[in-house]
Amino acid sequence: MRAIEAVWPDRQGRPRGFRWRRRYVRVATVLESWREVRAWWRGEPELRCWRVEGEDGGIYELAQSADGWWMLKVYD
Amino acid sequence: MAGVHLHVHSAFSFLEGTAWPQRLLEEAARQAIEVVALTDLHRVSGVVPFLEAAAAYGVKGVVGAEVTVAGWGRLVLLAAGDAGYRALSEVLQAAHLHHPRGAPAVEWEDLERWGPELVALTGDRSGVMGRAWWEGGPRLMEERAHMLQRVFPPGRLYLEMTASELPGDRQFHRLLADLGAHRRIPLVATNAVHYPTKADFGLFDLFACIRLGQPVEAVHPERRLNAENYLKRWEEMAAVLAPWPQALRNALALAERLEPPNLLRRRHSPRFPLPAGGDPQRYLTRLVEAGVRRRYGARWRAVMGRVRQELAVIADTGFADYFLVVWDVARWARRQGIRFAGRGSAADSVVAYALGITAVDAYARGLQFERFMSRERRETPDIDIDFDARRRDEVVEYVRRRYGADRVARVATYQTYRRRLAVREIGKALGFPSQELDRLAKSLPEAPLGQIRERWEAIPELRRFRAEAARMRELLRWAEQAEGLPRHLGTHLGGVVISGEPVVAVGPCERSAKGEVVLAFDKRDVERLGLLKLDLLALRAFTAVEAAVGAVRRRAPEFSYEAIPAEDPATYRRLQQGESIGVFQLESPAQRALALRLRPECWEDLVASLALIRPGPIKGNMVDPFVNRRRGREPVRYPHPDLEPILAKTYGVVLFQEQVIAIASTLAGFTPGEADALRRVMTHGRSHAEMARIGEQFKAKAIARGVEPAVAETVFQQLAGYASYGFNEAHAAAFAETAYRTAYLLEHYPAEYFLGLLNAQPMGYYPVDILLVEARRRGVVVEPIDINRSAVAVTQPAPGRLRLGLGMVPGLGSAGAAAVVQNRPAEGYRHPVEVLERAGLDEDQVATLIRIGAFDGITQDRTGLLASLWARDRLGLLPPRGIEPWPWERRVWWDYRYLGFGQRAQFLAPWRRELERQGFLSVAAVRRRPLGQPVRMVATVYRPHRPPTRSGRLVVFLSLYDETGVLEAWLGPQGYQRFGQWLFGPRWPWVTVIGHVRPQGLAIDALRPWRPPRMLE
Repeated sequence: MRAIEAVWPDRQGRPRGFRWRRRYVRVATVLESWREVRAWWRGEPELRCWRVEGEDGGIYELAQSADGWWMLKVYD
Repeated sequence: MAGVHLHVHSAFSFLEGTAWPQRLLEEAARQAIEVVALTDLHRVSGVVPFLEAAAAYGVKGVVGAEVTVAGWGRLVLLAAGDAGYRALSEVLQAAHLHHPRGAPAVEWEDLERWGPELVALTGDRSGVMGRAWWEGGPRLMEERAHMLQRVFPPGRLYLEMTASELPGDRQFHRLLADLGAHRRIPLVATNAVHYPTKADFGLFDLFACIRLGQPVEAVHPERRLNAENYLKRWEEMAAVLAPWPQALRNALALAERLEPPNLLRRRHSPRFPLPAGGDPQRYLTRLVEAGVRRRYGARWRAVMGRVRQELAVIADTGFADYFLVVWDVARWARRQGIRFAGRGSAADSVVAYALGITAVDAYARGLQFERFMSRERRETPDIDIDFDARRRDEVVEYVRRRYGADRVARVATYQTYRRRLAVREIGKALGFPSQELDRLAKSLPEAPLGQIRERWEAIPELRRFRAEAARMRELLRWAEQAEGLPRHLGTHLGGVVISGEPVVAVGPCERSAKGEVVLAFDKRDVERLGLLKLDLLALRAFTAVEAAVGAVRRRAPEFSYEAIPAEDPATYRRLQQGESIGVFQLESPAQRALALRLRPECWEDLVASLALIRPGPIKGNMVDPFVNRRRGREPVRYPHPDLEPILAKTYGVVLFQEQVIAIASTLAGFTPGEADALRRVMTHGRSHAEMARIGEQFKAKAIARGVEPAVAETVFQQLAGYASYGFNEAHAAAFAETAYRTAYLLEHYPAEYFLGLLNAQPMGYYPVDILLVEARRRGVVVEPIDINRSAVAVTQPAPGRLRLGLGMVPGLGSAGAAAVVQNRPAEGYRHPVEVLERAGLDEDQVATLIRIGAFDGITQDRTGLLASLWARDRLGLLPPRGIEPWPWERRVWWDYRYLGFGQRAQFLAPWRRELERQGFLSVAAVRRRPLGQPVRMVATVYRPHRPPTRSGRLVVFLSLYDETGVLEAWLGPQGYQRFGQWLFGPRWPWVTVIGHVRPQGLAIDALRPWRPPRMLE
């Protein structure tokens, strides 16, 4: 799980675009969204997650927590 | 926007829900949710508090349950009205009774039979559609939907869409929508709620870990991925399920359509089987009249006025059948020779006395019938009967035969999370080592967990956890949330319901661990559901009495327990000395201390004693005035002259609940029923505002009748302080009967009575070790367990002698003990290997018998016997090889290690000479010392406890004992801070004590563990 440099969300909080590895990726489609609790007993925050398809053809899993935005997975 | 939740679990889903129904409804009302369906897993046990709370919060409560359909997954079933509830109950009962305990499941044929009366929702990811999707994809979903449509008519089957926000929801919901469109099955929105708010998820997840038997750090597919299954506001539901507005609309429409069943306003009393055309009230009247003539002889006419009043109330409230049912049970037990006694407020009734249900003459004692039942109350009266514990199940079986197996069931109890269980289970889930949890659980004082958490540093026995304090406190925080929640279903000790129709019409039954059929509601709920309940309790004291009386009759056949002389001076002399260990209800340290001060001389003193050692009189400081007035050290005063007839027998002190009722009637003109209602409010509703309201009512009425305002105020304050914890006189009188008779047995037949007590274990306040100390002290010779002389139970080989029984050996069990006795050769066993072979015991069991000296009658060389047992060498020991027997102290030590008590002597007896040389006194020697003298002693500690106090200043009370007797002792708050760690948690049983002799026992100044000076292994 790595921090994402910048994310541009829409009014519902869904990512419209994000900067990843010094490249801006515009979101073409939100494929799935869900919420996830991590190790709550260690005080880890809840995550709100999105699986999106970027206009670059990549599939990304992004997560937002109280601490910021994170990249969970990148599918080649 | 108002909303609905049609799939909601409470804590009655046992480890799949975290909140009482009341808490869920409170939260629902806060979120403006208008309809809630309670759908606990495989049960409807929460339905009574749910429907009551729903009415209180103005929420429509729908009843349902989630079930596992065998091989398919879960299905939510909702009951529409009474017919639906009956169908739901039938389905649940079949699921429980036709499957192994703990693994209920609904078979397809049961679903086909009862399903058409129900509404089904297909559940969340663990539901039938979620499982089908996972196991076979859309095709299997289609197949199962088709099957379900064959059971549930159109409009009674819904595809459930949950707002759980799980990965894959988008695809799953789309498949559900396609399936719904294709098969014309409507969608419905739920949130599969398992906890009221998001903040409760942690506890829910810990419960999941407990259920799955794993620590919180380990992953498991059955644990929820997120914290979304809470009571969401409808706006949140709408936002998550925005693509499926029809699911939301359908939920609202379905909730509108479902009506709650009418469960709380019915009565299901059985009809007593009368001769053709008989009228129960008339039949009851005839029986009572005959009973009154029998009980009162020539005085019967004088009693009839009171009897007619009672019969009129019984007729008006429609409980004639109930009395006949109970009379019939009592009559049957009497005919079978099963010892019993009615207890509780039933003894306030002359009718119950005339019918032979109770043994207390309510007329002679002037007891208030209204404490038992009244026109105003209209609730099923409570009749509790104690039976000889060994034979109680015969009585239950009789009731079952008499009224039909489908109309009789045992009552359940909800086993709730107690502090220690909560700490152990949640601690284990949080990854604490079990040894550490054991130490913590054993060290917890008697106080709410929240208080312990806040006062951690001030509790001496918790200081040993200093390094871990932060983690431990966090554990207590979670355990505190679990405390009091239902954990699983148990069986009530004596509750049996008898219904006029099959019990399943009221609710589903389950099977208990003992295999009995148990209605899955507790005692309170059963009453609210209008069922007739009998408390058929198993009382071990009667078992002890039965055994003792049997032993007495073997040497004095003319002896009759029923004809024990009424006021035996020797019995009272013994009680006055506080020597009542073993006496029913009078043996506790508090009762014995009271006896030293009260010096009981008659039966009435015993009735008062039983009522005095209760929180009400103790907290209301009534014990001292009562004792002083009884002993003539203080004048008897009455707050108002009209109260003299009511309070004369208790020397002006309010001691019994019946007196509360009588005072309210006499002073304030309450009708007896109103007065009892006042008592009940005082007992149950102790909110400040409510008490103030009743107080005003009481005072206004009293003043209107000419009572001085100050007097009215004083009397009310007395009543209020007392009523909440008071005892009823009828109950005290019923118990005093048995208390006196057992005291008589103890005084005149100590060997026989101790035989009874030892054979009825576990029972009473004191353990076997102390009972044996007492028996020896009373001159009884106790012979140890012997492989060739002992029976299974304790026996009496000669007057004044007891032989301990093989049934007392842990790990042998009654079956093992019986096998030893039954297979014993005529000439006796000659070698342990013979026991192994003939009785079929295992080596460990026989080794235990060797270690406790059961073979000492053959040879005292226990080491040699053990060696030959392991070697299966039957010749090695015979004849005895003349090896030195083990030293006395070692033999006693092994008794304690393997039996838990000293069969030859109390643990400290072998050390007495050495202890005396060192200046340590025995219990008997301490007792002989003058008051105020400092003493040093070594003693065994029993039952240290620190009752909670409002001030938080804790005093520890404990019993100290050795081979010479028992001494009560206490340790003040400062001493507790310094020495509490030696008394609580895992501890050494023997202590060295320094203290001062006081009238009630020993005030401890200092203590530390005492260890035997030599190795004993």
